[in-house]
Amino acid sequence: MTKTAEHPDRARAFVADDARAHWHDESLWFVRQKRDRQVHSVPEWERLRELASQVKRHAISRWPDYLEEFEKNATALGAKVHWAADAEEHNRIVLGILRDAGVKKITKSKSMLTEEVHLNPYLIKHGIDVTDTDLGERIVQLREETPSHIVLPAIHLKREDVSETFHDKIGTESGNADPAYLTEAARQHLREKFLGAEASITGVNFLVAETGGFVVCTNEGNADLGTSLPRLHIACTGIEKLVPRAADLAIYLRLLARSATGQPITTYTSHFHGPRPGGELHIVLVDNGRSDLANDPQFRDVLNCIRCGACMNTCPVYRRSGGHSYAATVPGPIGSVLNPLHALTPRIVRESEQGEGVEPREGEAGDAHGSLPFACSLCGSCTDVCPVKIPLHHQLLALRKTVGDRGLLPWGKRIGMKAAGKLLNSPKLFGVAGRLARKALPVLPRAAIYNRLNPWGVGRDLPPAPPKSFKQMWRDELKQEASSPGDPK
Amino acid sequence: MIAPASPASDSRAALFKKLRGQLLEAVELPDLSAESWIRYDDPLAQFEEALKTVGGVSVRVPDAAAAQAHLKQSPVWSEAKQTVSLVEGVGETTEGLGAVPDVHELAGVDVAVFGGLFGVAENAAVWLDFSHSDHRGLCVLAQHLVLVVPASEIEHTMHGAYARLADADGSHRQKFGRGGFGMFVSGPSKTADIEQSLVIGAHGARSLTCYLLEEPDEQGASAP
Ligand code: SF4
Repeated sequence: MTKTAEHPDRARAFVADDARAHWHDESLWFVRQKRDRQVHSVPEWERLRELASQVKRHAISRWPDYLEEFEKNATALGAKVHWAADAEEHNRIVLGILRDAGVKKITKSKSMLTEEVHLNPYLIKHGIDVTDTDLGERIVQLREETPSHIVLPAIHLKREDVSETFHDKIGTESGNADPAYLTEAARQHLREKFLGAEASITGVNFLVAETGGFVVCTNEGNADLGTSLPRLHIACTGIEKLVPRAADLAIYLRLLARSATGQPITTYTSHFHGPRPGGELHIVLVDNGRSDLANDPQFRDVLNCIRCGACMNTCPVYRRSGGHSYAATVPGPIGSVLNPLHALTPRIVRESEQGEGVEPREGEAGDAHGSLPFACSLCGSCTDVCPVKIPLHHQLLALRKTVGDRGLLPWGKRIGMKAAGKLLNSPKLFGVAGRLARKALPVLPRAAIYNRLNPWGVGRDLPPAPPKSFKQMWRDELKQEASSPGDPK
Repeated sequence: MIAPASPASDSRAALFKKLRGQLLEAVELPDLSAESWIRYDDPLAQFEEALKTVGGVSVRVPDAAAAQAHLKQSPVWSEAKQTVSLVEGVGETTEGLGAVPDVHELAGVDVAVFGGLFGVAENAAVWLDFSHSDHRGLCVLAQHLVLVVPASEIEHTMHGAYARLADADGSHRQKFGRGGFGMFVSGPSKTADIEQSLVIGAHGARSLTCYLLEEPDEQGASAP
């Protein structure tokens, strides 16, 4: 198995810049606090979460029916619906549509799906000029980076970074890092792109089976500028973004922006039903591993996710290690569930058909993401804030076992866990080890404890060893009680 | 089975075969009409409060004429070179912009005036219905947005909003299913993508003013 970097390795550079890591932590906590204020203004918040979860679970329980209903209704409205099994097919379909229309220049509004399938590099390779138009996404695009957060793509950058990038790429004044100035410059720069585009690509927040329409939410208005100018609109979406009825939208729209950025709703919430007059609308529905997830009752609820990012904003590990340390399109708690699952599920499906001991196929090892379920303190905060009630920390715990069972644990963890397993299983061994440690710790030189073999000891000190074990103390206590008269009751 | 829209692709067939083969436990679809949601003592005041927090401005006026008088006094209007109005009696449309063949020609519009069907108290969203016109681009192209909404038409929550948009049977098959475009707009366009500092005027409108008409006349502030 080739060794790939694990989460702690990838987080190292980020953590090394202490001031910046601290600032990142605080920026996200600020968003989390804004969320809390909004949540407290809605007395039925918990009921909404309950309903949001139930409606999504219902939709998945009748997934093929609703997909068919959506396709039928969208087609009747004049949209063309496409089905893609995986990333490669999705990208091929999109390129085909653009080529048929003779399109060379497009604008894109934010879509995590097109990040997931790596649409941008694919289109650019085939000669299409692609401009991301969400400000955060445009910033990372100009820097040739990837988003580090699903809602706040440039949250890892400081204003000085943006200022430098804009000075280099779009000619803003050197040294001017005023957010208002930079945003205005981006507005002018992107207006030209909007007016010159021949097609636009958007993501989708919700597909509505009952009507065949879909909803896109933005604060900047980029999806609306993008789609209202050229005649061709391609909407790319995962097949799980489905709600049965338009009335269900009320539940999700009340939850989404409050959870995401602490706003009562996004500025623009656009409902698309069919192409605009004289226009053309394509909807590309992508599976890319989603359908397999429905089969597993333990992990099925990840399909509820509305990509609000709240679990990231609250996660102590994400806040202190940065989105790029996850090396995945979706970082944070939900990413730590989705990415290993995505890598492992095909193998697990084969195991359920053929029994244990199935050999991994090429590229299926999943070791690149094997360390993600451990990038978690199991504090449970993600589960608390998730507006669609995905039991994230339970899933992360379960995944540790899944990853372990398939031999995908990092070496250090594997050996450590084995030893700990033996130790904790044997009271005798545990007692001996405790006695030894209490004797040895105070007298061992630092280098023997805080060395490469103990990553836990980096930046942390052990507490002083107590003179006696808990067992001994308890015994002494009982002895004392027996020899002194009991408290009068 | 319903025939697929496009010539049945292999991926479509394979996906449906897989999904149909999965046996999932049934989960009931909840009946939302049985729920009770927050109701504000004064939904209009709540709407105004919410609009302020999302960066918009609300102005209560008795009627369209008063809105017109107020608008004409505003700096946004007096500095505007090109304007478009879709509301009788509030604002005006610059000559030649009434029926442009291509929305690109509206790129220089400074102020656009739209009639909103209703507003939502919990989040200051206003529903704009474009199903009969293709002016949707205008509400993001224009530098400043002016909305005219009857003060009596404020829903408490989004549930009320969707109930408003429903057909007689409570579904949305007819109205939405006939096609077209509609949006909720809540405040001016904004971004906080640079260091979480809020900047108003990202791509769309730099300001949003909402006139709340206390006694809208018959054909005044209705659909565009
Ligand atoms: S898992 Fe929940 S909290 Fe995290 S992005 Fe998805 S919906 Fe939001």
